[in-house]
Amino acid sequence: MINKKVVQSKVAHLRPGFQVLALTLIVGTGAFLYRGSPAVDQATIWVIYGLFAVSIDILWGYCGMLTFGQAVFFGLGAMCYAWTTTDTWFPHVDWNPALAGILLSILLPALLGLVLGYFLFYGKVRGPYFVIVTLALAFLMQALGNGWTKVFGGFMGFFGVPTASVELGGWSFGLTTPLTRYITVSLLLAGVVVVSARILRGPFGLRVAGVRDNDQRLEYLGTSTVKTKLVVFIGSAAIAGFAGALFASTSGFVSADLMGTLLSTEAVIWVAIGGRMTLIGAVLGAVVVRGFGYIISSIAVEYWTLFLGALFIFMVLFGSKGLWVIGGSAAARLSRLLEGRRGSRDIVENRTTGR
Amino acid sequence: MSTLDVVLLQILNTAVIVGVLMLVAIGLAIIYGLMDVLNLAHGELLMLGCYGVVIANDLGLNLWLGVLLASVIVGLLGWLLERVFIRRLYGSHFAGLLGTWGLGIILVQTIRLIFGPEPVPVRAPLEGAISILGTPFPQYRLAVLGISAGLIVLLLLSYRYLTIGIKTRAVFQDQEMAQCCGIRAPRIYAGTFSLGASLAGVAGGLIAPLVSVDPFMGAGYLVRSFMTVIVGGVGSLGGVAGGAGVIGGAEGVISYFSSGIIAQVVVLALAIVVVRIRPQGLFVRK
Repeated sequence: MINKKVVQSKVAHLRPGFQVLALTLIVGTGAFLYRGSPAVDQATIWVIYGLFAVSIDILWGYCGMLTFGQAVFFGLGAMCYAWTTTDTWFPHVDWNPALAGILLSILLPALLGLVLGYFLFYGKVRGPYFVIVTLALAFLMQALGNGWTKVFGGFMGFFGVPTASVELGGWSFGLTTPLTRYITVSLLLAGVVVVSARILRGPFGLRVAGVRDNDQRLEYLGTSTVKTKLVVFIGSAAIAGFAGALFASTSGFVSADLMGTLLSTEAVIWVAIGGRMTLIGAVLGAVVVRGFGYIISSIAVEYWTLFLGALFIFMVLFGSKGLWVIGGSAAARLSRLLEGRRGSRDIVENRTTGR
Repeated sequence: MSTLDVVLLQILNTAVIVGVLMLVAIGLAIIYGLMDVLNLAHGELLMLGCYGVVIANDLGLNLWLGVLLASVIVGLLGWLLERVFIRRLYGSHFAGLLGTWGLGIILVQTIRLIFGPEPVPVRAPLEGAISILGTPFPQYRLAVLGISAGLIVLLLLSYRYLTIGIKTRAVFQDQEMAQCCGIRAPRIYAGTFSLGASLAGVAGGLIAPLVSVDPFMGAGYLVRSFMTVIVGGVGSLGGVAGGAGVIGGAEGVISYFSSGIIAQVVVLALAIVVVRIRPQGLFVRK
């Protein structure tokens, strides 16, 4: 009996991971049936954007800090990977350049997050002011990157960034085919989602929820919210940077626009559309919006951006809880129809206590 | 040119930047102060003002008429936007930020579809130079400085003494009480947003001949005026004025020694440090 319960709780912790893998399986198969392996490579990018959106959901959904500058960390991570793997201003890396790039893409954004967060959170910057500062940061990093050709590649960016291949001991692993790329990225995303969900469900998650709901009250109770905010900010910056490195490895092209305001804000829309505070909703939003963009890719970029703007306004005016939550309640309603009232009540209770 | 000439020219150029920045930032600050909406489309309203002058230029109208037209049209557009859209965003910071950002994107792309992404040249209505203490200075820049200073003084006076200004201040202090006294707060909101938009329109119209006019120019001014409001502190027009002086001044001085973008990065870093040391703003007493 006890063993069975332990196994059940372990499976419950892994459930978000399985959900993510099921989603990526559907998306990957759909993309392959639609256009073959080039579409799978595109789908890899959407899944990476999904990982990026997860980093925003942790910060905005769970901790209540809306950011309009998350792409700074994403783009910086992509830059780190490009620096170590190609011939740039960066000193030449002999030992596993791809792995070094990925490590750097986690550490450098985390460091930037630490420095920024220290000033902003101790300065009691919150709410709209935090959004403004992050927006300003993204705008200036983009402008700086476009101007500073030597370090950030300027308007042309860095072409020919190699895909990741790692050699440790006698063991080597390369992301050579579209399928290995897609599977690896999906597994990494599932891993990040499982770990984040686990942490956010534990005692630390309770503190994070307290910061989101009323950080001033939490301070009156005698705990420091600044450290909680810092940890969440740094963690989310590290995830975004990691996603950036995966992006650079997959797309082979990195430019300063990856650090800019448009990607930053588009990613916020992914989270809003998919559903805040669900993690997988963020992935769903990224995949749906980007997948839709791929299907209608014949239209000009102006109209696409116009469409994104309209999406913002639509989300605000008819703001719903997001696709994942809507889908969940629709599924609950459906099962109520199928199983009768009593069964549905159980499901609803499970949903509320399961969180 | 002697060193004195260079310094004097630099001071005057900075004063022009500060004046225009104040026009934009004051609009932003009163909209935020009164309605609690941070208008992320404010830079785009300035951009629309620029294109108002571009249209006047194409029609062969006098440029001063173009500036006037820009302020009226952008003001009317602001009134319309508040009535139809912005008022649905009150009460939620997130809705305000996301909604106005989406609005900004739509304005940028619409202008881009109509006029194309390339910069559009605009000719200044005054072309001669005037001599100040022996230093030649472009007449038009001086006119811009005078007009923005005049508008700001006019605004401060009407905020202080006119009935509409007193009503606005009443709504600012206590919206419910003001409504009990018979002030129609929704009208004040619409009027304030329209005024803020119109100020951005004037600022855009005035600087159109001095900068490169393209659909994406708004973001830079938005960022600068936000830094102005952050450094100066919210709630007092004096704070905004001080903030504009600090931000515009620092940018003017630094961009003289290096490039404009480096200057903006340094100013942002300074603003973040200022926020750490004085969260309430430089010019607000605790």
